[in-house]
Amino acid sequence: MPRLLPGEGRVSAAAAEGGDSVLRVDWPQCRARGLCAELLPERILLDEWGYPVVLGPVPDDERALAREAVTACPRRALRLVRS
Amino acid sequence: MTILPPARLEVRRGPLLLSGVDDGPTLAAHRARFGELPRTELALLVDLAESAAVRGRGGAGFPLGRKLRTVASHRGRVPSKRPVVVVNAAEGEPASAKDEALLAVAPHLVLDGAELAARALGARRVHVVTSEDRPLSGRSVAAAVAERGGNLAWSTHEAEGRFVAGQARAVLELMAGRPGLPVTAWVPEAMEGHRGRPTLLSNAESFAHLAALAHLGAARYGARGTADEPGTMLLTLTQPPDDRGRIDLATVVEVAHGDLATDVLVPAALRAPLLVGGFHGAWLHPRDLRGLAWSQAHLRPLGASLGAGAVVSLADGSCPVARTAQWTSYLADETAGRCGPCRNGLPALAEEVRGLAQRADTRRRIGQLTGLVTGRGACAHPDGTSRLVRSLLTTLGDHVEAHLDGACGCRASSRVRVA
Repeated sequence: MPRLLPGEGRVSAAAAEGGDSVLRVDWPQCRARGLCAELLPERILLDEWGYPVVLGPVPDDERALAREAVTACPRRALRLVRS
Repeated sequence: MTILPPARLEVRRGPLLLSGVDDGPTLAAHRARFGELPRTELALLVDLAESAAVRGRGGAGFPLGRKLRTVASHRGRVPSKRPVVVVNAAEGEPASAKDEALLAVAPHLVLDGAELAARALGARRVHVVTSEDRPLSGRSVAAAVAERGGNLAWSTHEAEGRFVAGQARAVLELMAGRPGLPVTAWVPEAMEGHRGRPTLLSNAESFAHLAALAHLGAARYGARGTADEPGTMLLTLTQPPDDRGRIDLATVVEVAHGDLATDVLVPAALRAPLLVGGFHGAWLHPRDLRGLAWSQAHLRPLGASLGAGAVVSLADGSCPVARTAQWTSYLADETAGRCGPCRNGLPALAEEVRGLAQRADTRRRIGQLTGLVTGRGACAHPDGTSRLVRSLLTTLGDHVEAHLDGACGCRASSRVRVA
C-alpha cells in the first residue's frame, strides 16, 4: 500500500529531486515534543532535555520517512533541506 | 551577572582607519584626509574587496567580496528585490569597543563604505544599527548622517544592550519591528534579508575597510599586512571586568595583519593567559605570546581566531579557571532563551565550570555539554560559549590541572564570585 505523503508540498524541490538531504531544526520553534524521534529513530535521537539530535544526512531510501517526521511536527520546527 | 561595555575608551592613532584621530570626526576633516568619495562600479568594488581579501569584522570573518556578489546576483528591478545595505555596529560583545571607537573617530569612513556599496548595488537606503548601551556610537552616527548630502536615505536603529542582539538575524528582526533576537536563517541574508530583499549586512569596520580601499587603491591599502591578509585590523585591548561586571578601560588600536603582539601588549600581558576573540573566543597560553602575530594564519594552529578583535589579558594575575567560570555564567544569562539546547545547556555548562573553579573535576561532563550545545541554535551563542570553555581545557590544560591540585596559587577556588 503506498504511503500517504502529505508533507511533500513543503519539501523544497531541490531536496525532492536529489542531492544530499538533511534535516534541519528551527530551534526557536522547537518545544521538545519528540514526535520526530518517534517517527525517525534511525536518524533522530533526543538529548537529555528532549530536543532532537540529528544524525547525519538523510539517505534516499529514508526520505519518505523523513518527510513524515517533518509533517508530524506540531511546531513545524523540522525541515528537510538540501545540504 | 551582567558585563557592561567598557566605561572608558582610549583610541590610539593608527595607520589607516584610525589615522585621523587628531582631526576630529567632521565630514570636512574626513574629506581633507581621504578626498571625495570615488565613483566605483560594482565590478571594481568586488575586485577591490576580493584582491584585499576583506573579511567581515563582526566575528564570523565571511569574505565581503563574496557577500557583495551574492547580493548583486539576487537583486532585481522590482521593489521587493531592491537591495538594502545594513551597517552593523550593535557590538553586543562587551569586551569589544572598536566599532564604538571607529564611529567616534572616523564615522564618515564607515558611512563612505556603506554609500559605495549602496551606489554600486543600486540600493537606495542604508540602515545603521547601534546599541542602546553604547550611546557614543548612536550619537556619532546621528551627527555624521546629518552632515552628509546626496540622495541616499539613511535609517538608524538602536538594538537592545545584550550579547545576542548584534547577531545578523537579530538585527534584521529589530529592523522588521520585532524583538531583536536571533531566529533561524534558512537562506543567507545576502539572498533574502530585510523584508526578503537581498541585504548586504556587515560589521561597521568592514565598511570602513571597503572605503579605505576605494579611497587609497589596492596597492596602498595592501602595503601593510601580509600577502594573504593585506591591510589592517582594529583590536580592543581590555582587562577583565570587576565583580560587578564593569570593564574600566578599553584601548582600541589599529594593527597591520602579521604585526607582533609584543608591539601592543604591555610586558605583564605577555606573561599571562590571553583571551582572543572576546567572550566567544579562545584562550592563548602565555608561552605562545612572545611570537604571537595578529593574523588568522598564525592564530589558527593555536586554536584561536581574531573574531571581532577583542583581546582580554589576565595581566591582573587573576586565574583563568575562575574567570572562565565568571564569563560562562554571564554568557548563560545572556541566552535569549528561545532555543532549547542553549536555554538548558548553557546554565548546565556554567554550573560545571563553576564546579571546576571550586576544584571539582567536572571536565568529562563539560566535554559532554560543550558537544551537546554546539551547532544547535539559531545563532552562534552556544558555539561561542563552548569555544571559550573548551579552550580553557585544551590550551590552558596545565593551568586547570594546577588549579585542581590547589597549586595554581589563585586563591579563587573557594570564593569565586559568579552571580
